[in-house]
Amino acid sequence: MENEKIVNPNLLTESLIFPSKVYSIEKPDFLDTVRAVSSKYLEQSRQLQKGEYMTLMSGNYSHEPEIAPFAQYVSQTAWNILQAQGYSMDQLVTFFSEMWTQEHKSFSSIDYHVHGLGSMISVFYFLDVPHNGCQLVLHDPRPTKWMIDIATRDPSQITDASERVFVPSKAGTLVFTNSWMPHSFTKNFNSEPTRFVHMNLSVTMSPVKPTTVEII
Amino acid sequence: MKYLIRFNKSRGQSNRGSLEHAWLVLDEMGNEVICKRVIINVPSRTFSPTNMTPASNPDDFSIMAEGVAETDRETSTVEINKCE
Repeated sequence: MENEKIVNPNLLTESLIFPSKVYSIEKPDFLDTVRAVSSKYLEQSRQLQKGEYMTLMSGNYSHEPEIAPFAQYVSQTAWNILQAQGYSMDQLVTFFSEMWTQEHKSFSSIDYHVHGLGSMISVFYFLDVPHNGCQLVLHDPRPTKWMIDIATRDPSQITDASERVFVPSKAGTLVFTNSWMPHSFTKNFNSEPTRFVHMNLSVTMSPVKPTTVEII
Repeated sequence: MKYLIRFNKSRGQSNRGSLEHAWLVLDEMGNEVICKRVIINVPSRTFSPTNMTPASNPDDFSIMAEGVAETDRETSTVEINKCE
């Protein structure tokens, strides 16, 4: 009898399949440099605006040398995530298809969407998060589930039945998720703007050293 | 097949083509073709290695295109077309 495992014959075996993961980490050490570059690009966009605006999008700045350590950290982490998820990454590299800042003034929000066009990992880096500002919302990516969904017992709890999850953030929070994860941003109910960096990373083959060279 | 198209920085040097061989086309298998002209007939985009992981040569900015490459030795041209 010693060491014999008691198994409840009525217990269901539960397996987690097709999981949706979100990864977050606090990285306030990048705030100063990223804010500086972000402000410069937002100002360029502001100059192009005619009249009042609620939402301002900057141009792409993933190439800026001042933020190279930040870009390298994000890109490496995206690669690590895909590798850990089971993708065959040995011959692949991650690279930025987009990195830009969004500024949301009062009542600005972003509708439900996903990032296609080759994006594999979507990333959010929060720069300015006022109280009751825009909040990141991740939505259940399984359309067949939400086609037949019923009400959840307690919507404030994250359960297997949740339709959407609100992701808490503050200045310096960095959030990663697969690009197939639909997301949106709630309205900004503060008079101060919400600002965050949105990034999408794609993968491509690792640039290899030429094995053959032909001159034509 | 994905291709990276770059300026041939070592043109004119030994085994790197003449000064007119300004372009190199690198495929996923590591085969490189050095040529004078490139025609891209498929959607393409810039490919910056500066924030790419794992790190590579930061000077190797490229255009990336996916398709089928055909070489014309008479005109020293690589043409990238859509996969049929």
